[in-house]
Amino acid sequence: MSITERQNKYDVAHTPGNSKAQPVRRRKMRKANSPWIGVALMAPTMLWVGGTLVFAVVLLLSLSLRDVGLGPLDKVLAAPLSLVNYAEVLTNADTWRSFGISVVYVAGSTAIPFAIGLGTALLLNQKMPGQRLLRTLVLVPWAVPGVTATIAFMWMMAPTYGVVNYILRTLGIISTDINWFADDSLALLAVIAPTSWKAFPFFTLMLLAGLQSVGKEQYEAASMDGAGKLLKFRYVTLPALSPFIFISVIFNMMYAFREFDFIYASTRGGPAGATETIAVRIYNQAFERFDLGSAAALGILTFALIGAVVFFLVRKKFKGSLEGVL
Amino acid sequence: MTVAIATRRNKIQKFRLNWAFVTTIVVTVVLLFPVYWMFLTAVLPTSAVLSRTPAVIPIGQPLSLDAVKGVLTETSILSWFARSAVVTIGASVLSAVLSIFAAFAMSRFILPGSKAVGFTLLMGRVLPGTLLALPFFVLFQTMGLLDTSTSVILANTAAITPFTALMMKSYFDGIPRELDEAAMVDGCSRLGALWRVLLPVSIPGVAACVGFAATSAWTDLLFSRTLLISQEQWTIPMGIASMIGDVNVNWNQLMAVGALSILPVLVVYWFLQPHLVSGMTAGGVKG
Amino acid sequence: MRRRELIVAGAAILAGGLTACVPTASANGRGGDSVLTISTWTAKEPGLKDWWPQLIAGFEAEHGGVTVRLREIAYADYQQQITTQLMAGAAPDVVHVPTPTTTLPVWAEAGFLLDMDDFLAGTDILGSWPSTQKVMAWGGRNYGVLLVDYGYVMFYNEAVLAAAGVSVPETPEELLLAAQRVAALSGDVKPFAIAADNSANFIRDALVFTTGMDAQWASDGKWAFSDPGVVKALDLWRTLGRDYAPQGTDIAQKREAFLTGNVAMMIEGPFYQATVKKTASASLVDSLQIAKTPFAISPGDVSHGFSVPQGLDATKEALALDFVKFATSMPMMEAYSQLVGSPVTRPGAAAALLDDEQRAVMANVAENMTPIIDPSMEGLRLHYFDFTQIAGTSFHKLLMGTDDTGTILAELQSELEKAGITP
Repeated sequence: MSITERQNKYDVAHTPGNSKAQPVRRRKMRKANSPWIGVALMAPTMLWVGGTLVFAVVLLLSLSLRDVGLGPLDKVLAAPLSLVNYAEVLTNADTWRSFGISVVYVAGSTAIPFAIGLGTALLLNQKMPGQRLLRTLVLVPWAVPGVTATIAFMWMMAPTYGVVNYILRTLGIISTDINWFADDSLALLAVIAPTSWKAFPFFTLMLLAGLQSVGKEQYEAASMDGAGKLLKFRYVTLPALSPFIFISVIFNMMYAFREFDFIYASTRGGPAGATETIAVRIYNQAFERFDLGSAAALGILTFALIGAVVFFLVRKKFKGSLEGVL
Repeated sequence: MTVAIATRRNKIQKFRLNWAFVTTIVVTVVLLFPVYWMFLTAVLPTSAVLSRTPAVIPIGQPLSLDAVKGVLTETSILSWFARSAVVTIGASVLSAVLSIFAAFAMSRFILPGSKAVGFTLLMGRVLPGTLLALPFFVLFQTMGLLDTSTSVILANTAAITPFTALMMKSYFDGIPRELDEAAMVDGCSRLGALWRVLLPVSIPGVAACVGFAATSAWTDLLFSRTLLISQEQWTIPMGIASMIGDVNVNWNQLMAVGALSILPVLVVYWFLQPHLVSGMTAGGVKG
Repeated sequence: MRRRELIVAGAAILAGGLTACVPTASANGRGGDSVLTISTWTAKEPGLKDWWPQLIAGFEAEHGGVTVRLREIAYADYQQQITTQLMAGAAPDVVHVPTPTTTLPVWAEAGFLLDMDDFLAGTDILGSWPSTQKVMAWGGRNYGVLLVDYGYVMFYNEAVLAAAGVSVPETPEELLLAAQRVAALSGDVKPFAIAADNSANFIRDALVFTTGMDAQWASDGKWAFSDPGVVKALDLWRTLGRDYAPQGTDIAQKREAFLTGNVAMMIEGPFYQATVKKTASASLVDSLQIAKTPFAISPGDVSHGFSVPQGLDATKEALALDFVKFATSMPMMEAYSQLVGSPVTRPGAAAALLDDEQRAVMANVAENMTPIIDPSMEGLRLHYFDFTQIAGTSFHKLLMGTDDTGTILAELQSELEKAGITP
């Protein structure tokens, strides 16, 4: 369908009654009273998503409550209950340091790709030559398999033989090579970069889709009220995008929280623990120290902590603005 | 007179278009540099890539497509592609169906325990993969589905659906309820209203969700490496991971498979684009 | 009515989605007695790629009706996948054990592996195997058979050393001198390469120097990192790694740097030579040679072995043990040594290597090697990860920091004592 055709369709559909300055504010939905159809529709998702989640959490919880590091599952689960793993995890100062590192890592690996994703989504929402091709190309980093991306970045960021330092040297920005992954103060930034690169197209696509839910008439109405570009962004685009921003940010934070492959491949949590996020720590506990019990305890504790935060967000803080989401 | 105004408007529009266009080109070039580097690694000897003076612009370098040839003849790449395609199509279709139904339910019905539903979906993706491996292995072992594509499809669906369901719900929430009510007055059932009215105007949301599902399933290594055992079942990410040996790594081939594996996803993105235009204007009304 | 329609429709679509992708291949048979599964990460490594089919065909020929299936797992995923499968009771019938120094104690301790003492009593293995077989033992019982151990060798670029006017170094002093001479050359070639990531390889590359220079960092069950000999050896490693090597190279980049001619020397396992010969560019390949390490003592390591999981049924267990016996028999070990072009643990099986001058180097160092981590250090082996974390932090300081080597190692000594790990 060409742009003009779409425009015509819009013109036909446009009715004067819709021309209010801020029509985007989501109205409170009147919902159907008979819940059974809804329950039936919801059931497969809840059974499968909820079922696997409960199964995983219950199994991990029971593992975490045994004082057995590793063993055949039936034997481990037959061991007496014990809180030793929790005591160990909670009293270990490294747990809390890892938690702090995770917070920084998740914040960085969400803020940066969000900014790039929002920028590219707004740009690509404009009409331009080759729009379809450009929109496709921008999403490419998302499709790169993790293992390949990891090696590409490790080679690019290799201190002596990598292209990143080569470009910085050529531009005269640095005189001695930067040792990205070994420098205590840079390592965390160095692992945030590839994570952000891999994640930004997720925001681009979701926000681009979100932008399509804003009707043209809303912008036109705002124009009639004399709103400039910035005001339109503030009062039309942003409110319409907010539910999409909210869920994309939440899910990307969880993605960043779980992310482990790149950090493990490049630094293994080092130097001196500078990049040991919770996810890396859990891996190290489970498959380097072979103490699955304490890895499970750490997992259950962070699960509960994040659950509390999400619960709080859902219930209190953003009650109004979350109406559209939950 | 009218012609003059039209021309001027055209010029202004053109100027604006170029500005966005130029910015987009610059941003795209910068953002795609790592992908470019991957391609170079596939076609250049490693000495030109890992070097004090790497071949950023490979003029005069011995470009070679041997790696692509080698990958096609020496590895089971076609089987990996086929398995990945089965997993990706299965997981995308299944998660799309599940999440559209779930989103419709959350958006249009009063659900008992609706907060708990939302909470479960939000918490569905918190546990790191390290800890999911064992429960998923045991679960599918019990179900007798280990080493089948079905297990990977189901596992990926469980991972994809929490996001796509909430994404679709946000989309449905933006569509006025009068639309489905009008449809129901016209004799549609509730499901008919979803199918004939809600979905057509939500195409951009569905397209984004399909893009998300396809990308997640195509690049999934966690579930496939945990649940698949026989080589015949391997997906693309497993094939790539297997190319990094303890001693021997063929870097050119590794990057060539990586580059080739992007192509099918690119095709998906390309065909999604026309659907990523305003569904509202196509569908008619906005409340 | 409508409700029912809806449920039926939903169920139909779900069922459709599932049946569209029914299992397409039968599961890897574990049930049938005639199938024996073996896990490995080496199915595509040079040489081993040809050894496995030979081994499997030979075993199947000896055991009519038995099918051997190789369960290939990517190297990076191997420990995690096998551990998961062992926990869930779904392990392969024969487990290929990587880096047994650290892996075997954990798996044996967890009760995953079969005590093989009775089986070994009926073979020549305990009698003829060198003392490195101890690495497959835990708590005095054998839980597997060691297949390969090796001595490290010095890889050098003949053309670069010639241009620098030095011969292949044979002592630590000559090594440093050669590095200085190569550094003085014009051009971008670096003298030496180490694994400078944060992995076990990082620790390994440093400990090669202590073993080679006969420095004991553990004696009588106590740490001895402040021992002057240890300080001297690690100081040489530090100087080479910090001043004469490319920075931040992981194990793959280290090897690649040598392979592409970016680096003149490195110390590596002899198995890498097969890759060098196969992939180095034509102009370089003749220049890339190996020699004995420039140390009085040949540092070495154990590579991999075979174990059998606990809990197999009796017939399967007998078959699995038979397989281990067959794989470690003289003909199969000779075939391994010839195909991979590197030494094996079975004495005499690597004799054919002596015909080739370069391979003879490997065979000789393997014969006389001292493992960088002694199998009798049980405390260290069980808590190896904690050791690598603590030692890694100190070694990192050696490469990046400015404190003198003695101070940093004294600190390491007290950190290890504080952590309560004993060698």
